[in-house]
Amino acid sequence: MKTFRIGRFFTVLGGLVLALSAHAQGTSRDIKIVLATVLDTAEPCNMMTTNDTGIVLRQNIVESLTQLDPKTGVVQPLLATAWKPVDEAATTWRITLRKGVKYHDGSDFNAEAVAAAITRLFSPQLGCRDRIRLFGKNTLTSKAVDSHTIDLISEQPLPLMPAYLAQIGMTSPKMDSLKLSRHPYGTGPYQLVSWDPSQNLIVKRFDGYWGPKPEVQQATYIWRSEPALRASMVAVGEADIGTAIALQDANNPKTDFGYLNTETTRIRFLSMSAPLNDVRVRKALNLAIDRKAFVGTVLSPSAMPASQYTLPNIVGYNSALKVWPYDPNQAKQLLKEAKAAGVPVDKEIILYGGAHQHANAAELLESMVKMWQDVGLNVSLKMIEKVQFGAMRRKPYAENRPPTLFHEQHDNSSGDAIFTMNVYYHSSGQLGDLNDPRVDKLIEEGSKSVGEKRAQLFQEVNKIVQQDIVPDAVLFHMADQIRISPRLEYRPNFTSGGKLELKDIKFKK
Amino acid sequence: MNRYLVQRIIYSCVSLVGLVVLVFFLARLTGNPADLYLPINTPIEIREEFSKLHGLNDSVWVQFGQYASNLARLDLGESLRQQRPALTIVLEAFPTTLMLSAYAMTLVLAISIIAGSLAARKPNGLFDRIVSLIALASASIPNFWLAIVSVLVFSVWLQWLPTSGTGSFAHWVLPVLVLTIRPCGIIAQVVRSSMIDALSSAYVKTARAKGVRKRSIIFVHALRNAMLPVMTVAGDQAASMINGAVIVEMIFGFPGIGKLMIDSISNREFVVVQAAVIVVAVVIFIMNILIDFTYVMLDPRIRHD
Repeated sequence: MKTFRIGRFFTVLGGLVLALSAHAQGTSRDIKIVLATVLDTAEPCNMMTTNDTGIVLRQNIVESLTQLDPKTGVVQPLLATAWKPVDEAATTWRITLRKGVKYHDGSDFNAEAVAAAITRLFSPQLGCRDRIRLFGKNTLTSKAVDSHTIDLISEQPLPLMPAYLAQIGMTSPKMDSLKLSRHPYGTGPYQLVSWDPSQNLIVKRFDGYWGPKPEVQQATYIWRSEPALRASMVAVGEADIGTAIALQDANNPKTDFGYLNTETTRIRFLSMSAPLNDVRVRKALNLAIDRKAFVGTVLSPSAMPASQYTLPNIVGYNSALKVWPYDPNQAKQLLKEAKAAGVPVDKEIILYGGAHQHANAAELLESMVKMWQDVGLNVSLKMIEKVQFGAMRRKPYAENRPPTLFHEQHDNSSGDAIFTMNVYYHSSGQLGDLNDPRVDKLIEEGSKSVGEKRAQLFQEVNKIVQQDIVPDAVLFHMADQIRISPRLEYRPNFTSGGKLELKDIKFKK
Repeated sequence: MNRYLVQRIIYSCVSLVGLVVLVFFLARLTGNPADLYLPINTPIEIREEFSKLHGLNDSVWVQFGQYASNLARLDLGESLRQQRPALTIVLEAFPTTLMLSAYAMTLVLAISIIAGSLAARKPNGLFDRIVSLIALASASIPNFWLAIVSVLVFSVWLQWLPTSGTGSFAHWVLPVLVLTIRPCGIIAQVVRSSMIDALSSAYVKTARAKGVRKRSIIFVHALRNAMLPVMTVAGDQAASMINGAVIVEMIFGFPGIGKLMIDSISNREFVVVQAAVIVVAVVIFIMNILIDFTYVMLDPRIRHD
């Protein structure tokens, strides 16, 4: 009898412990996020160009002077409250800074701190990727006007300075400018607690934050390369958010959400040699692709066939342009006409793709090759490794190159089409082979314009590119899948692939 | 024996030098790390400036000369992505792999020696057939399938064990078991064959005739003589594990050297790859020397002179 009572006591006690721990997890304000890649850098000046670093740092630990509205792409204040160009050429911008902001290390956020952050960004020893991507050969210097007003001076006109400022992290002036940081200090709502590259990175709420106090108290980031594992971890409660889960694992509509990210894919035609130098062949390549067939099968149901190489919320997007229709008969007719005119339409064309581009990339390209073969084109596929792929895509191109196609993916989260056009459509762009004076002139004029005029000029470029020149087959605005624990109130937006703001995460009541 | 030890160390050093040279030159055939590190649209001038700053533009012979002179000072270089010493990065990852390998090999030897020895007692008997079948199946199962299925069954469906990570004893159960199964199957078969030979030898018949207990005959007299080929195969399996159980590390999120090497090769982090190769090679050379000494312990007739 005594043994029975003791046994019953421990059973009840054990049950109580389990119930309490489940309840504790349910009421805990700490969350765990599982990322797809190892976080091997926590350097803020690389956070725009390293996805998982951006997810951890951007607007969580390190904030920028401005931010882009995820829905409209409009620039909004953040650490800067106002901005205006000082000269007509927009090489100098006067920025008014927010007062009462402190860094995690106790430093004051002011004009001096902004100057230090800009200097750090351009430090040759750091080799900041974000700086290279944003500015290229251009330079940016600063001059304090008073404690909370600063002039930013660019060597070349920068009418888009406010959008650029959304992509530069304001790091603490005490951070070393000669070495990549392993403990970033910013002004964000969270500060770094610890980082073990073999295990995890932990951030906790910064009590001195200038803005509203977020609900999440502490976030632990871990990394698992296997997408099925990331999905399983959320399913069994080991994590609260699993990023970049595979399409085939997104089988629970209550926890799994697809969302458009900032990537758009295309097939680029290197149009230097026959048959790709004939516009009928290039149009036929577009018409032969059944883009809708891939959505919900090989690609996420949230992916969207695209009409141009920028997202709909980007300045310069031309909403009058339509996605190329699927019309294999018209494609065959165009090829017949081209052949009759002496174009060698059955010459082998090689399509280069990289499995690293996105999930199911190989399957997508294999299906596309079959679609082209069905209309009479002779296309073969080569999947190659990323270093080789990068070298082949970039200028200078090899001489006497055979007819070549590239499957490419482009991320424009910067709110303006110039970031696409300068690289892919201007004759000086590293990743294009257009040499059209009309297009160059429109892009150059657009880059110096502002407002509606700028948008119209870039829309015209998109129209000429899609309808006259046809240098590519723009494919899809891509989507990612994310799994979110039922205890959280959070929905991803198109920036969530590179930025996951903890302050947007709430707990269900 | 001392002469033998010195000889082995010299041969190992020669092998190590050859390996380092081979890895150095082969790695540099795969492309410029700047191509991966820098954004794709980097202007040519900036690309060249970056390559110059990091010595990537120098001829491969100049780079090798620089590397060799740094190596003489035990400076294995600095990671481009992390700007940290490559040796530090490798030594952070290696203990996890070593521990994983040590636990797995201990389990492998225990299970395969017992199972193989008992199976050899009655060749073609029921127990022998069962062990042979299981051993064959174990040796044939792909690790990645086993890892994913074990997570599905034990972590997701049954929720008995965590899915991944290294926090507690429970975290190590699945990775160690997955890593154990294949070598267990291979070594059990080797033990079985070796023990069948040993158990049919004259000294065993004599021991039986003298009334020595079955357990002693198997695990004391016969096993010792059967262990030589087993140690060879076990050493080979252990070397594979020390090289990095990549699949297990990736599936279970173990921050080991296998995953580090794959990531470094993928990112063209040459110095980290080289540092990892050196560290792993040194450990394997030490392990091989220890195995040689084990041979002498098992069979005093063997002399390494």
